[in-house]
Amino acid sequence: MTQLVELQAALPKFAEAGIRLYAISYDEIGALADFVEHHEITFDLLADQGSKVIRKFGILNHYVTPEQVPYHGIPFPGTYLIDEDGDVSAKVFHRSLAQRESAEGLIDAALGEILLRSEGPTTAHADDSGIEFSLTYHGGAGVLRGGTMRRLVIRVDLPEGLHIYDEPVPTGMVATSFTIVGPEGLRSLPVEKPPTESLDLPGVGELQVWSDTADFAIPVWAADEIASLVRADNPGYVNIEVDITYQACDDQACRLPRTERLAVDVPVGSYVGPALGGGGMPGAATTSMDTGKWLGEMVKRGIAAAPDADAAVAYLHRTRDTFAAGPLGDSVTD
Amino acid sequence: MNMANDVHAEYVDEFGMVGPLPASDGQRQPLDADAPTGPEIGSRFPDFTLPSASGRTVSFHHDRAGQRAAVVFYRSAVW
Repeated sequence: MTQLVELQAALPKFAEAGIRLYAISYDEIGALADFVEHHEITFDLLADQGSKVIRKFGILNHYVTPEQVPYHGIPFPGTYLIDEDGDVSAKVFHRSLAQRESAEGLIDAALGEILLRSEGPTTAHADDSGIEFSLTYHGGAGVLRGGTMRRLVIRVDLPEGLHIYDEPVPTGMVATSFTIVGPEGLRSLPVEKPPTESLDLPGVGELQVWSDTADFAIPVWAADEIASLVRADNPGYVNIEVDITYQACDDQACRLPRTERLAVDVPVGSYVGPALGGGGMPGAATTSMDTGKWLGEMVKRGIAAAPDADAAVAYLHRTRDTFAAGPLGDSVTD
Repeated sequence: MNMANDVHAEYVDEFGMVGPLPASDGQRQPLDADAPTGPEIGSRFPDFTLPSASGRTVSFHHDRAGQRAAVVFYRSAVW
């Protein structure tokens, strides 16, 4: 939901990159039409009723059992990027089913480069040897939301003759590393590093270095503490701090290792909830979806082994009751 | 106030996300490292024909008309 709405907002960026956008789910076409109308979606939401294409691609979520009506039939969420020739040029699947790539991340994957825009919060700083650092919050048009990935892009501009090191380095030298200092709740994947150059140092051996301009990207997402999918008490913004530790050398000598801190304030946007389940979540947007109609359709077309619509409704209600009356329910009434 | 501390641990998954079902539920289970992710990079993207919410019928490779494309598989627009 949040992902679809973000994709819609980013449609001009896809067009600019020459990328046609499609999204596929197992929803029946009437449900998609409701969503399209409510959220003013103008790209194609395709109805894979019966999950035939999902099965053909081999990405049916097999952790959801056929008895779990009406959830059986969903895919592992992911995106394929297709080139002009019709071949898969990249694909993006995240381990967590709650993590979806940002529109900007998908465009970067299609282009094979990070396309920084001026919209993301950014900060820049130079150290006393003239190395310039910038930190840019990339993705989601510069807004943090629960459920979609972003990237912290750290650009290092080195004066001519200076380089910094990738791992491994000999004892006594310091490789370039990045640490997210805060906020608590900002989770990350390993840093994506640009290609290195080889540098042969007499008596030391071959080391991997960066010179000129190097862009590093840390994929991040917001855990519940800072951008909840189930509560409405998200903060208005978060302060993201990153430490960069490095040692710069030229072909004669090395400078002392240093740590520079960069920080940006990032606005926290609202989570766009679904019509069912999420419709009961405080702060979540809802659609005009007719629950009974949808469930009836799900069962009618035999997407799951439900004996009748009552079973589907009962399962759905158990799910909603779990949310409403469970520990989460307690916390949201606080 | 950090309300996440009030949330019962079984609802918090290893990624720090909270959902209305226990994290052990199949719907919230993370992908195994060897989980299938469909067509491989470099291979021909399989063609398909599906109805669009706009009322069009989309035959993928014909419809993209030689353009690059992104095809997003997502859970549901309903729940």
